[in-house]
Amino acid sequence: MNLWRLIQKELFFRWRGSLAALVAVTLAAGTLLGTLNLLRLHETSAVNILAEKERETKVRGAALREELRKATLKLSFNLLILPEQIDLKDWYADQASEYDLPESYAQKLAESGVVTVRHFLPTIHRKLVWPEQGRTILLTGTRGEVANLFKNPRKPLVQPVPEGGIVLGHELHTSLGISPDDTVPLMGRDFAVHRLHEERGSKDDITVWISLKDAQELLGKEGRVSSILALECLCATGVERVREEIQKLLPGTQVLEMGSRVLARAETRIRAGKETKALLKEEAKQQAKLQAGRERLAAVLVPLIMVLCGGWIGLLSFTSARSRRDEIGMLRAVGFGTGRVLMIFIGKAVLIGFLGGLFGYVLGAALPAIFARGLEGLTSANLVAGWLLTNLLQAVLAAALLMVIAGWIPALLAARTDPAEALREK
Amino acid sequence: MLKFDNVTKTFNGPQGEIKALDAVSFTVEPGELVDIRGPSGCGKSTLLLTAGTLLQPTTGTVTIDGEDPYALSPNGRSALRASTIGFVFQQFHLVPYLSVIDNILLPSAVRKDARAHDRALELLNRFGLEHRGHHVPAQLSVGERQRTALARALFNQPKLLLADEPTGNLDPENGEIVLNTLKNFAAEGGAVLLVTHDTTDCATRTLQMLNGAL
Repeated sequence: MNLWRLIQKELFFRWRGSLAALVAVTLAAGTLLGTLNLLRLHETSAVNILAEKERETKVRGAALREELRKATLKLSFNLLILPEQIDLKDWYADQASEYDLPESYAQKLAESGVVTVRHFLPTIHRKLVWPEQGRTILLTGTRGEVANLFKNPRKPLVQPVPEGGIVLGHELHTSLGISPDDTVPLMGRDFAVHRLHEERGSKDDITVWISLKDAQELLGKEGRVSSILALECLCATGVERVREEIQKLLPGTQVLEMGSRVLARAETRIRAGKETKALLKEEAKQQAKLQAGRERLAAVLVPLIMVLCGGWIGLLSFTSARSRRDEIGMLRAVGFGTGRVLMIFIGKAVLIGFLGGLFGYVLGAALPAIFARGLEGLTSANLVAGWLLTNLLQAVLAAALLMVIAGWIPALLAARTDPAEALREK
Repeated sequence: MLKFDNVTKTFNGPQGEIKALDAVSFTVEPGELVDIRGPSGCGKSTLLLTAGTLLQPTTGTVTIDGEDPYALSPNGRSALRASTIGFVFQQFHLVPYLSVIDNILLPSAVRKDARAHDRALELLNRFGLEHRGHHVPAQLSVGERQRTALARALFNQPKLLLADEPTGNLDPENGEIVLNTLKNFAAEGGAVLLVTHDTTDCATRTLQMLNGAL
């Protein structure tokens, strides 16, 4: 016979009382752990939501930058290198001229080490009447980009038109009834339709694009170009320097800067970035506020439940001690000291506490995972993160401690029961 | 073995001081079975509990085996009870959730004994309880309960056996078993203090008690 056996037997004998205490301590441990887990899950959800929003913002930002990068080309942004003889009034009116530059300038530029420019695009432009159709068109010959060897390779901004191919603006192909598989005659040569553009609402709608080589041949300008676009100079402070570098390198040229629109774009982009950051900050603030609210509620609810459960356990312990007075008297008569009697009560409390802690751990890990299943931003790994050995240990220790604290006074009263009085009562 | 020297025990009740023991002096020597007789409420149980080191006298001295138990610490008294004294009560005071054998083994929770189980089986056989070893008190007859209590009292081989109306609830047959056990215990050198309001002829000496005095 030993104390453990005595505790164990009594536990099952008075199973209703033991069960009631077990329920109380399970509830207390489950509530404590469950609340902590639920708070943690909400916090994880908030962190994940913010991270996801940041990621989305980054992706959207990158897409926007890419879009803007391409948009700058369509807006004729960047630096335009023209022959110095061109009268800009005519150029702005027609976007084409009779004057030209050596095509080799493009390669010279690319190899020059003009580091602030990422792309060079040599083109030839003419405003002319399409002989076969009797329509005024803007003819553009383009060869695609000349790679800048001194910069990191970048995705090409424009797709070159292959030799023998033709690209038509919207107004042209719709009014002339040209289809994608057609062959179109231009200045005595046949060109296969390479692409038909959607409506752009600009001069592009009456523009015909062919390869630079084809254009040079048609116009009798082999090795010559009308202009070279120096693309992607987004930094306003660097533009002047680039212009100087180019003019120094390519004599007989003039360089036009079309930066104001891109600056506005860049500012818009920066402003959009700032707004996104502010939104993210606001979201984080909102999440923090919600979390603080939940923590405040938990700070009231958890102690309240602990106190109620503690009171319940104390009452059960007190009732148990009262009903065991006769037994305590007998135990004292056979030689049990107050310490041993105390150990019987505390031992039982600790045992129920351990069991309650174990059940509370299960309850406290499973229920929040179920409740939080619908929460945004949680992964299944987050949901099972409550099943930790440290949580189990904490639950078991907390439950045992609660049982001991709540049962201490009744246990002490039982241990100090006057055995003579207890034995005489019966 | 047991000596009461001018022992008085008073209680404060609602109607003033009650003298439960009034200058009680007597001795119980080894081999003696002293029967203290008296009507209900005369102080017999108080005397027994005082002798059992469970109730400190107001005045006077109690000596057990040459030692004043009330001069010992509470733990010292518990140890003395475990080693020297056996109790038998009219109400048995069995632990309801322990089987017969576990009730008998109860004192071994205090005094470790490698032969505890053998001794418990021995006592089961001696009191005709071998078939009841794993039954709880609620499943026993009244006589079997008292025999279990007696077996528990004898488990630690005490020197002094204190019996408070042990036959009060028993039929004559079981009553005789109990009294014979007490007689044999005394015959084997133990000291027995029996308090009862019945007449019994097994005592070596009988003392009459009235209003707390012998």
